[in-house]
Amino acid sequence: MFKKFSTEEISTQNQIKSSVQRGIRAKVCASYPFLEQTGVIDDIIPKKEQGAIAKCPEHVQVFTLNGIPLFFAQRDGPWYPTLRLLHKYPDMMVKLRADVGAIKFVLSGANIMAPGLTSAGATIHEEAEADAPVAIYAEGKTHAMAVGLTKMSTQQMREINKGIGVDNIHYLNDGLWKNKTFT
Amino acid sequence: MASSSDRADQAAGVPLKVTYDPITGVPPEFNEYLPKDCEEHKKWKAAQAAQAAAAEEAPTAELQNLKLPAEQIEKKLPGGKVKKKSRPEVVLERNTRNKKKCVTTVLGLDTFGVKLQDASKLFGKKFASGAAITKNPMEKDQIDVQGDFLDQAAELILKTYGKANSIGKGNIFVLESKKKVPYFGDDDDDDEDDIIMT
Repeated sequence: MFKKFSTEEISTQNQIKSSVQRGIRAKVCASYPFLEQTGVIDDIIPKKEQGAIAKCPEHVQVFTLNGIPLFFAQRDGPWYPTLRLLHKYPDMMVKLRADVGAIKFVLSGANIMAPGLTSAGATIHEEAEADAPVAIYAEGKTHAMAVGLTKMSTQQMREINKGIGVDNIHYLNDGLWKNKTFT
Repeated sequence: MASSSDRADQAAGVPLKVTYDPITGVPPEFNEYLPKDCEEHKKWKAAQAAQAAAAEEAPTAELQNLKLPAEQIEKKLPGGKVKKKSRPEVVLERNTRNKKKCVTTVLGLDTFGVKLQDASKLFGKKFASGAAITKNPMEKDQIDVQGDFLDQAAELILKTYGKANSIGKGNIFVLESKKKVPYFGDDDDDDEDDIIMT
């Protein structure tokens, strides 16, 4: 989604109403219960502070706070954390770990195929349903390398073991990663 | 690997600090997996090669010494060209359009750390005309001001940004018939006249 992306592609960036921000916050909390349970959400989106929404091509909205992109969503899809945020709170998302061979493809923006998640080197840390936001880790690496949306449940991945397992939404060194702040 | 202590911090809701590679900007463990044709990977490869070369030259040297030869190599190889490029400068240009209308372009203010957005606003206000940030063919940002404000712009830049951003008289150039001429030459008038005549 962000393969070619720069801050110039932001069409508008507006302060959002507090009610809208509450809505986003609620949605984020619903998708990532970890944040609410530990109270981390108050550190990420303090209630007092007002964020902004940057509108980008392909109906992508990026929620920013003080110019730092935190979450993004496409159309009415789920809100994904940016990788920088995910690195800070690695436990917020369901984790899937791909094998070593997959890393270089993922970092070029490829979707993650089911065999790359079921092979010997890979681990499925937590079960996930289809169409759920997940964090993609790599065999032998500490930090997340991508954020994706599952195309099938982890159960199906094991059974079918073919085709796209996770859609690659946001990965290391893509356009969104390179733009640490939005002006 | 996330150690158990990391996890303990996590439970308390403390953000994990991840160090990113100074060259590539991604966690260092992913350096070698970056796509081969991207800028970051190339830079990283170059840095690696330089370090390896330096290590061969002085295997016993300490880290500080390691860095020095690498830097020297970098400076020598590209020759004088890089030096010229790296010296920041402001280039003013006057373009005529529709025979009697002018556009003044200011290029290179950003190299001094001036915010183009603010500068263009200032120009617009001062000259009571339109001022916009545009991209020139070389993909660099420049400010277009409607109207002929070349001389005024030069002075304005000196006045407003001269001290704050250390733009000296020597940094301001004028493009005249595709030649870069220092705006404030030593023998101000003669110099410019000469070039106009040729």
